[in-house]
Amino acid sequence: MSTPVTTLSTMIDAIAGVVGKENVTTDVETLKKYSRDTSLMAPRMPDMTVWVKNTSQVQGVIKIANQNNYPVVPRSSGTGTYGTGIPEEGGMILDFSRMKRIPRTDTRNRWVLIEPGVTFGELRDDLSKNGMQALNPLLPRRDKSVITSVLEREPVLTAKTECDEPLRTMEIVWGTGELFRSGAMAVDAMPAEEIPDKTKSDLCSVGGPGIDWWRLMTGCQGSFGVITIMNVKIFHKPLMQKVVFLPFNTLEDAVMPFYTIQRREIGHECFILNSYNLAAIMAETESEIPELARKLPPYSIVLNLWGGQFFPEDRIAYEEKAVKEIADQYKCSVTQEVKAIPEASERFQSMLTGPWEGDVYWKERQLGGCLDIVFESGMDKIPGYWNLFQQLAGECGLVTSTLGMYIQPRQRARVCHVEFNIPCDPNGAGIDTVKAFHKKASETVMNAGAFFYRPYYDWADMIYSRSGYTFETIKKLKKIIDPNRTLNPGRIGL
Amino acid sequence: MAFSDIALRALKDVVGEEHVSDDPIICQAYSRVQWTADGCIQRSQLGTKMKPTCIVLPDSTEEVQAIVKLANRYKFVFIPRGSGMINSAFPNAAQVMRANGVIIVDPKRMDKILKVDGNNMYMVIEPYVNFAACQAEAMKVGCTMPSPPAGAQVSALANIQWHGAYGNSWLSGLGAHQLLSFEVVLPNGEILRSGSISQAGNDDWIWNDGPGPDLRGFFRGAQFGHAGGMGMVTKISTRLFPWPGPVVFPTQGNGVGKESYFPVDKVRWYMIDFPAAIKAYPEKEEEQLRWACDLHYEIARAELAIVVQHNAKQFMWTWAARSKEEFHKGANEDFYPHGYNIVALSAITSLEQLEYEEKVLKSIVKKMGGSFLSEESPDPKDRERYKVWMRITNDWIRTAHSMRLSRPTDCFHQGTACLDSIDAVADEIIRANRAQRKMREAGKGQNLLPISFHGGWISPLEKGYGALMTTDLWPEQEPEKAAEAIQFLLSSLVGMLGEKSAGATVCLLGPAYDLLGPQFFNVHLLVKAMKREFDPNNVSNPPYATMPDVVDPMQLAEMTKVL
Ligand SMILES: Cc1cc2nc3c(=O)[nH]c(=O)nc-3n(C[C@H](O)[C@H](O)[C@H](O)COP(=O)(O)OP(=O)(O)OC[C@H]3O[C@@H](n4cnc5c(N)ncnc54)[C@H](O)[C@@H]3O)c2cc1C
Repeated sequence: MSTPVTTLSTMIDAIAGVVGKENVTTDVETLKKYSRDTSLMAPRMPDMTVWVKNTSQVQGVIKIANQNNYPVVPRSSGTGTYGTGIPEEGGMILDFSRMKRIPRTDTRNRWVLIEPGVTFGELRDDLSKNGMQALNPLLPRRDKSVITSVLEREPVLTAKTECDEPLRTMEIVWGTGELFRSGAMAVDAMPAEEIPDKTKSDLCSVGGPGIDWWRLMTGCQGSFGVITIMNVKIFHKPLMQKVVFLPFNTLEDAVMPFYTIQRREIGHECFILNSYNLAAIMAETESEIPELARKLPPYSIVLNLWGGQFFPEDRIAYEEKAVKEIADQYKCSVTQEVKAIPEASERFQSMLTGPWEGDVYWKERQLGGCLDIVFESGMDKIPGYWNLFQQLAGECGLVTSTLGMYIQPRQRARVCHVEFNIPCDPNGAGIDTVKAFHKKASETVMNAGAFFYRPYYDWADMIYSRSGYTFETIKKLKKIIDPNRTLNPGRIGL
Repeated sequence: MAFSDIALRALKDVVGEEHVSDDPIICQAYSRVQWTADGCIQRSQLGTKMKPTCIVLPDSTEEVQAIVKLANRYKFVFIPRGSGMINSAFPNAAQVMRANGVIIVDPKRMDKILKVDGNNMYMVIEPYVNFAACQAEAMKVGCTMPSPPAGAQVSALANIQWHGAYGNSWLSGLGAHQLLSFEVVLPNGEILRSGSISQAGNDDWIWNDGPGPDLRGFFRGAQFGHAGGMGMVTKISTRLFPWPGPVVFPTQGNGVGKESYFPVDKVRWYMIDFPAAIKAYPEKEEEQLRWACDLHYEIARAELAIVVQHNAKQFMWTWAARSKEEFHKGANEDFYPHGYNIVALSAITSLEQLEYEEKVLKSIVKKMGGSFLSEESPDPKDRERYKVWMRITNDWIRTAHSMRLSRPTDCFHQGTACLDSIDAVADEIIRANRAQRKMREAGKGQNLLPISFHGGWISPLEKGYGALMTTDLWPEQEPEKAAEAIQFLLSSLVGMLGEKSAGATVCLLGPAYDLLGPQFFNVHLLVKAMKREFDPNNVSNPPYATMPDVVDPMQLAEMTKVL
């Protein structure tokens, strides 16, 4: 671009010159949708939404923006949850939802190459043709981008250590519009799907070139670079599997059985839900949720026993025996049935591999909205945080029986991703109280020692104000990588 | 500015007089890398001048920080050190010629295991804790810690923040995977705490990623970290894995005669041979390696095992032989005629699970036409091969015997290294071995051990999602001969670049950034900017992580001339 763009209309023309007029919109209703998400954070209007369909368009658009000091907010998932895609400083939304190719699957090395618009449902359907399965988080939204989920380090349902970081290699467009590739994809700039055939790279080595970009690029909420293609780990579908449940009256009671199951490496997918979340997922209709929650055990470990690919009956048999031993040891029970939920085991089994299929997302089913508190902790400390959270909820006048809790072990419970969910009515009279509680509870749990690893909502200030030189380091890196603050400016305080 | 008594006094003031030494004899002792070809050449370049100006032994992060601040004030170079096994932990010619002084920060007084958390399977350590100590403590709480073939005597922290290829990488991946939270005094003297400990007042070392961007990505690379070029790491937390027992590592005998056997209801080892039709080596090398790949992929699909590797014949014999004499005799007699696939299964869930895994492994091997060596093998030589290996196979989990690895000539050099898929790293072994044979046909490399004595190490990572390979050379301890080994490595690299091998993307460090960066999307410019930002005076072990400025190609040629 030789002449600088000085007005919005020349900016729109310049961008349309790259992607075509039909792929730029300034329609107010459309922009309104992009100005907010489900986080209840203050909306900010973008000037335009731009749909891109390939890397060279992405580069072209970002180059123009960068040369003109104009913000670009990348967005791959249809619905944002934590405020990460709200255009804090205006500018354009760069929408990747039309980049939907799944150009290569490698069953031997267990990866699939995807573009940012690919959702979990689409990936499941594609992989099942090859007998493979994606590493799914818990019932993601139907329009959730797999790449966004991976970049956000959303935990996957399986607790297996080797599945914990699904990201392999990727193509990045920097805030300057320059192209970059990480890991074994860096061997060439040819289309990524051609690399295994035309080079000596199978896109398996994650690190490099030089430093570990594959890690540095995660958790930055689109403010370091834009990902246009990525390969992620997948695994072979089991020949047989069986979901079992271990019910508990208190969360404290679940701690040791949970650790022991993981230490003995039993099963594949595993997590804990409280009765409210279990009901929110399993109730036939929204209105049944409170009643069902009352009938369910307060806490359940959900565990998928795994037959794998060889002698599946034998494998399930030894896993089942081991779980029973653990249940005996800790005087709890293990069942395939859940009272009040017919066919719970079978239904859960099918839910482990795909997105939430209902119209209203499961967390929002009852009241229309939900605020989350998301952090990481050792399992031993979670009951303490949960008690604190519930106590505070009571003090703030919230009904504690309608609060959700989800614990996801990572790397065989080396750590747990924890969510405390606060269902709420975004348009209800009490919303300000809920928002105030969300803020206060976040602060309280954080002060008690929980590690808030993803600076969502307006937590960035709270987290980074106590991060010493960590935040300075992140700021310096941002300055090197995106000197003009082109990408998602204002996000995570950058 | 030369290193003056002012700087020396200030250092003594920080750590106490008794913890600083500029005694020429002591400094001389810190000038040598025993085993590497690079070290051999370095010594020949500057001889006794190649020694640090002084040695400093801090005992806390605050003392390290004060030392780094002095380095910036007086512009002397500091080299963070672990146990000092590799050349980048010693002064190099460029540092010595800069003449501002070079100090080695020796962490011997920072030697504590600060925490072992059995439930959450991690450990917090200071820089001078070695793998042996970590393993002993981990086993007490029913866990195991991966150990590198570099040996259990090295600093676990240095290894994890810098390199990290392990006997059981099948479980753990590389050092980059092993790193959880870390605390580092950056070259500018600031303290960066990454992961869960970044939050003021939080001393829970449990986790690594965030808050926000995962700064392990800035601090670590695929195969290498910054080699001391981005400050000194003072504490890390690192991962442990479930271990079925025993709680104490069982050994019998002494010294090189030491043997170790685990109870068979806990851990079982398997030595897997190729089908009869492809046993001839080196004629059938390629078929053997392809077969090994197929085996490893099947084990990955079955999700079995705690150790899976194809071990090169030289790996096996350097470890298994109990003396130099025995080594050379066995080498001549081809005690191990080719490489073998080594697998360990363990009873993590239960004895039934161990039996199940054995059943699956046997069915895979049978289907593929392979066989297991055992004490009942029909060929008496196979029985002996098995017995000899079983004496020391547990060392993959503990000491890994690096000293034995360098034993053939007392000098060791990697011929090639590559990370990618199991198939891709096998390709690299084949290419490296072909190149080595060609070199010998051309009358070169005679001092390197004969090519028939090879086979390559395939070490799959993270249960087969990736893999590492190395081939190794043993030059004699003379500069020209060592240079031949390095030449070989460089020609391997050129070969990798020519064929666009994934291996080339993982070896950027120091001057290699300038050499390779332009091929890899100008990554060198980004990393140079980081070096400038965090090490404005270029005092943290230059030329690592890389040089702050782009190096003129002529100068680069000069710098790498010896190579
Ligand atoms: C024969 C042989 C076999 C080997 N095999 C293996 C192997 O199988 N697996 C493997 O992983 N490695 C291997 N290595 C490489 C290397 O020796 C190891 O990685 C070893 O762990 C290094 O540990 P150290 O304590 O000796 O570190 P050092 O040599 O002291 O340091 C290594 C590097 O890290 C830097 N450093 C040290 N401490 C710090 C710190 N606290 N902060 C910042 N930087 C620091 C140093 O400056 C240096 O550049 C091998 C080396 C040899 C010679």
